[in-house]
Amino acid sequence: MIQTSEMTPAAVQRGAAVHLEDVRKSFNGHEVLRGVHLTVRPGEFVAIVGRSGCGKSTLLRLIAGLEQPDSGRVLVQGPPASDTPSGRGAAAPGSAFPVAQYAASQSGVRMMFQDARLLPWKRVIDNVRFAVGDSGLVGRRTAAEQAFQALDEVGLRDKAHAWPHTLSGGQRQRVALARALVSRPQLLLLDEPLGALDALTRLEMQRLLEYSWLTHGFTAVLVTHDVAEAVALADRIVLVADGKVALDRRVDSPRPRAKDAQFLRMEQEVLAHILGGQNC
Amino acid sequence: MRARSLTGWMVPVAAVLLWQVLGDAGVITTRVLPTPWQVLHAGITLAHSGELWQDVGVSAARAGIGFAIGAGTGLVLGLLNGIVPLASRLLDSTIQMIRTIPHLALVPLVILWFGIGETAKDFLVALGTMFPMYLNTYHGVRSIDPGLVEMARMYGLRGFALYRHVLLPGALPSILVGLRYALGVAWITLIVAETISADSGIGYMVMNAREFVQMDVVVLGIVLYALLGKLSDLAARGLERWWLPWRVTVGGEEA
Repeated sequence: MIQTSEMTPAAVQRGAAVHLEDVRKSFNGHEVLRGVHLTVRPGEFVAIVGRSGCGKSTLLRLIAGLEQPDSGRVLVQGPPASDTPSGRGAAAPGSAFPVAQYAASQSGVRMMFQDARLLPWKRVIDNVRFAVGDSGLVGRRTAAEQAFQALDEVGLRDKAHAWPHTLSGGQRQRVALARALVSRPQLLLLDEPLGALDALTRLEMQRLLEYSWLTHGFTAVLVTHDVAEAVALADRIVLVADGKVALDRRVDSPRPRAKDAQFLRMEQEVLAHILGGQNC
Repeated sequence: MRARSLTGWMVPVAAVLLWQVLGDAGVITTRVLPTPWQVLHAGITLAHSGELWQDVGVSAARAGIGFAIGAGTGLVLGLLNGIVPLASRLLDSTIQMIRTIPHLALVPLVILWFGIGETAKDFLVALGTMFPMYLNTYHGVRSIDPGLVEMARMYGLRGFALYRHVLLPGALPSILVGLRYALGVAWITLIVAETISADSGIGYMVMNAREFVQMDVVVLGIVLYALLGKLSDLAARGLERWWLPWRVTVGGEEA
């Protein structure tokens, strides 16, 4: 029965805010984003849906600082001072950064990709641990403890010493999630991380994502082509079509969300909007 | 697995036995080819007098020093050009041009420059081993999944940390292929260089024996080169097993 707006303030304040103002981006003369305005509040879970090739992933990569906008502004704002995670390079409290500088400051922006992107030459535990320990501020011992704890959270402690190639796709994504969690993200960007998983594993992962988001209080932006997934997880569903935000819909049903009539109505509504729009 | 590796040995062992039998029967005269037993005997005699160890030692040192210089240079250049785009634009085409010169064609020039001493051999081996090492290292760094590098950057890995956690281990399989290949080149180069001109080493031992028509020593020298080459190849494979435990071997071990 927890809703974002009613969530505990402590958790909410761990999240970063995101502001996009009139963001434009072209690739090879083709304008993918044509003036996107979007604000994500701290601790919010926003799902971005839309046809493939319409710039959903580009939008996410702009927020991540992996791409630079041709024009417009992308701002990621760290949480207020009172609850800034201490130590490793949190964004300066309460201040807004142009995202490039923000990323350069080793911020709490983390991203999960469609493929887990685990380093094949590191065992599971080391894949998680390097996300804690590179600052040198944390001792080796505590880094290992935190990594084990994160693996516990995703239920993979027994696989700590396995090589990534021995894991299933779902397990790899869980390790990737543990790696993101262990670095105490303020903003977690999810680029269809569940897209390649089978239906059952995907449901499990959705539960796990939701649970992690609720306990850690980061801001989450999920790109997905699966509208049901968006309805199940998001506080807000944003439809990107024709290079713009075509729909911005709140989802207020209580969590965890059952696939009841209200759920299906919402899914139908968003789907109708996607199918109603033209190709981009 | 065990029975299989034994199967692999059956043909060579049979061939050596046949060779011995034909030699004893006089079908193959000793002037054409000494029997395996005679070769072994020559080896034992030379080992007793200490000549063998001295020559093997000299040759191994040449291969080692030349390889260390050449492969080291190739490794550093490969990493540099793989990681720093400016260095690659500046140096790669030059290195590719020099690579087209067969290094053994330089033997006469090298003798004129350095005489027949150690420097000449070290130089040739270094030149021969540099390019396979360079090419494979460069290729290894270039073919690292850019997604992994992007992920690592996102997690704040920069500079040396990025190199240590991502670039080097990612390029390592390819680097080790280069290392194995370079070791092979090192021995071939040495054989040619020592056979043409030397005053010590296995090549000198063989050429000396040729003067006195000591067939057994000549064949012994050839066998020694083969053994040393095999030994360094085994060492390289050992490194692969040690450094790449995460590699999935498809279709099991190769011979």
